[in-house]
Amino acid sequence: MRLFYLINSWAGRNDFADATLRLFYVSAVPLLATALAALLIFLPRHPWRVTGRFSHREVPSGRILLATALAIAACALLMSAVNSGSLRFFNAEILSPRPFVTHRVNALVIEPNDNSFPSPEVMIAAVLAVAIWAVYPRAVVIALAALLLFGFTRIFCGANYPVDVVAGATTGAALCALSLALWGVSLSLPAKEGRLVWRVRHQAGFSSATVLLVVVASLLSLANAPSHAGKVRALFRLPSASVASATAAEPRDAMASTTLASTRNQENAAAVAVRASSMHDIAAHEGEGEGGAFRTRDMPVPGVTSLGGYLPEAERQLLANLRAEKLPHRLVSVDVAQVRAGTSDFRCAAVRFEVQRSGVAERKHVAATAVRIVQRAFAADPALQNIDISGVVLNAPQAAQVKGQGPLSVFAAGAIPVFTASIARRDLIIAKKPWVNHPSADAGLWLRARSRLYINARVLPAVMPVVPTPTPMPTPVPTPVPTPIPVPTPTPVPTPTPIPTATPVPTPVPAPATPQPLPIARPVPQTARPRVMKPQIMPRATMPRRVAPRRVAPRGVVPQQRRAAVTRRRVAPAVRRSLRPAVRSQRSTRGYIERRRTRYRRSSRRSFNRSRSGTRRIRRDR
Amino acid sequence: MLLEGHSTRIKFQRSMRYGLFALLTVAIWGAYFMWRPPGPTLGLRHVTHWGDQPVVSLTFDDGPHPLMTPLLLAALKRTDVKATFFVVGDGLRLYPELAYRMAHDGHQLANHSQYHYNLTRISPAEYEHEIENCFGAIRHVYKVAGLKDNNTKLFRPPGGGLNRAAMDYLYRNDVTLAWWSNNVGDWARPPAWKVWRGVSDNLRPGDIILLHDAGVGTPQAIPGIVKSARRHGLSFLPMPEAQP
Repeated sequence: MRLFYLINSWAGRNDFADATLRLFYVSAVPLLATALAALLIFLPRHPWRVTGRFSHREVPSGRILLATALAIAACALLMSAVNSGSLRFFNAEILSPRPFVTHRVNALVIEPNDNSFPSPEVMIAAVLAVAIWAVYPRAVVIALAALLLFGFTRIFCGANYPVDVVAGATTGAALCALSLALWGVSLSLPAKEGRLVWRVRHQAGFSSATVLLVVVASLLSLANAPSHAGKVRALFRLPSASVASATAAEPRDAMASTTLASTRNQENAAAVAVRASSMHDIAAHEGEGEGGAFRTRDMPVPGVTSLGGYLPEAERQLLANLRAEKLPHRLVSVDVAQVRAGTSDFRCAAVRFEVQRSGVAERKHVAATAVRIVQRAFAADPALQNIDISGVVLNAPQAAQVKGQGPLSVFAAGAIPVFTASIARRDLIIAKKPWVNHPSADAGLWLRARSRLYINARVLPAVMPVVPTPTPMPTPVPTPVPTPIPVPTPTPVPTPTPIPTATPVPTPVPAPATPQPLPIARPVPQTARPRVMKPQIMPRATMPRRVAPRRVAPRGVVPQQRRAAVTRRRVAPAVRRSLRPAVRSQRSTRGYIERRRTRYRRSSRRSFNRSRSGTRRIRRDR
Repeated sequence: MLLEGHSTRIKFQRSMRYGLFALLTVAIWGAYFMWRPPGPTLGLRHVTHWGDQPVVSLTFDDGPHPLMTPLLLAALKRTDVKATFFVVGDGLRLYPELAYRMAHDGHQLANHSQYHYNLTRISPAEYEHEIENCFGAIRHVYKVAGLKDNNTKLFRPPGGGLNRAAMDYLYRNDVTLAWWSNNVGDWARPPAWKVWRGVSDNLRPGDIILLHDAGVGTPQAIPGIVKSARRHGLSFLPMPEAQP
């Protein structure tokens, strides 16, 4: 999708480029077909079976023509199979809608609202390009360039996704190579003597494997279809920016969503991660297209979370505390509200501060400020459960786009969020990785380890990221953390909040290294032991037998010895022949063919087979 | 087919080759353009969004509906928004008072076919009946209401169904395809908060928002949508007749 927008966003800027590419969009396939016809007609001296005019190859034009027709028929069959299969097996008339149906694109052309994957025009263009290659190998560069340009145009004009183009081109080329192989035509690269790239047999195997691969890949690429994207994304847990950016844009509304997430966190963790991510994905994909209709069963249950009301006195108190902190960034807004989630109430805060500059150093300062705000707020207000903190650029002259996926990452002019973190009180102390609790840990690290949402020029998944290197930054934080993290100290046990709350809250008691009784390993019954140990011993006993003494030294170890072994008489005759420089006069093609035939007749069948066993055998003249 | 050996070699005359090539070229281009006619692809007039202007359009399909359209009209009047109604011609005939109110409130009426059949499932011979009759019904509404006809050429295919035959028809009759850029899928009658979140979370300047006369959620969501859009400095206009 990102690649698609990268290409498509250039459409509509230059009239000349638009017109040219549109012209090519329309006429690329007949151009390629005409070129193929011209080559087939004019290239050979005699149209049916002859030596070519320019190259000294045979141009079996009839066979190539038949193979091309077969490949095009196969493409048509495949396309109709895709169309009817999507209706039959997926119960969707349009399995993969065109980009202009579900997204906002620069549409230079209008295509019908049918399946976008794979694109039949690109398929046929690929077939023609490979046919041109087979007829006249020197034109392969031009044909492939035309194919590439055609694929680019499909994306540029907003008619197909890159996946469709790539899959179509691969399938078409592979089908054509396969049918050429069926007729016994091999493809070669343009060199002096026209060296063979693929023997016919390998060509057939390779291209049929490619067709299979593409078909399998196309099943996987259902991600293009919005109605299936949610499932696929939930499967792979791809990151999505939806809730994060919505949160950043609108702090008052944000609290609802973040608190929803926080309440979910209090349930068991694994289920939460999956469900939250799938929820985000659906939020990102709802309203996308005809296929992306609401599916009620996937949506979060309504009424779970509601905004209970703002707490002005708590806001004032928090603001006073933060003012006393003497922060280097100006505070924009401080909101504290009671959020009702399920049966229990939570107090949440949203703090926005202004970011005036950009750059790496400023990013570090922003993170440090955020850490200070978070720690101060949690220390000051014991009833506070969650802080949603964001840095915004105020009075931005124009709309901005945060790097991320989806249309949500675009913000109108005004307050553009550049930094967001949402931290629950229970995450202040992390038991699993105690090193992130070290007071000299980097501020960004501190936030990243605790926050579920974190934007800093890049949107990370809502699930807590795993920080790979467990080494705290050696340099201390520029602004020393004033308040020590409210660690095990007698935590303010769920103080009765000012608002009448039935707070059976799974409160933030950051369990101070509660000496959980370590599960002692159960003694394994004695009888079981030998059974476990046995398989470890067995292979060792048998190992030395398998490593038989080798005749030829291994490749990397002693190269001189190996080369000597090869040149010795013991080597198989086929290998020797492959090492011998092939002498071949290109002056008289007939003579060449005669010699080849006689040699094949002379050599035994077995050695013939062995000598063709390489995928790509290029004979070089020395 | 493949005759090997020298005895069957035929020397083609040069003129014969040229003739064959010309014939093949004509055949290739003709066949390809029969299969993929370039006219509708390139020349079909279409409106997708407002470009980069800070304007958005609300469009409501499938009207008029005896229960939902009054709610929509009330919500639009309250928020002072002029919208575009893609109406079904048969509905205009059934509910003339609603049609009159829509036209009188300053909303734009546009074509959503006469009977709301998906164009991909009916015969191309019926396109004229489906599309032209609805244009006639809209013109009739303006005439009866005593208002100036807006002479709209906007057409939105029912269900988004569009194939090459339909494109060809629209192209030949100079009808503008009215597409959208923001679609929540509210024909499934989601509650208001889903419509509101779905629209305003995906809203970008210049969007053409696709809504329906389908459920009570949509009219309830309109004030929220309008409010959040205006907070971002966007204003509401009916749909443009041509891509700006």
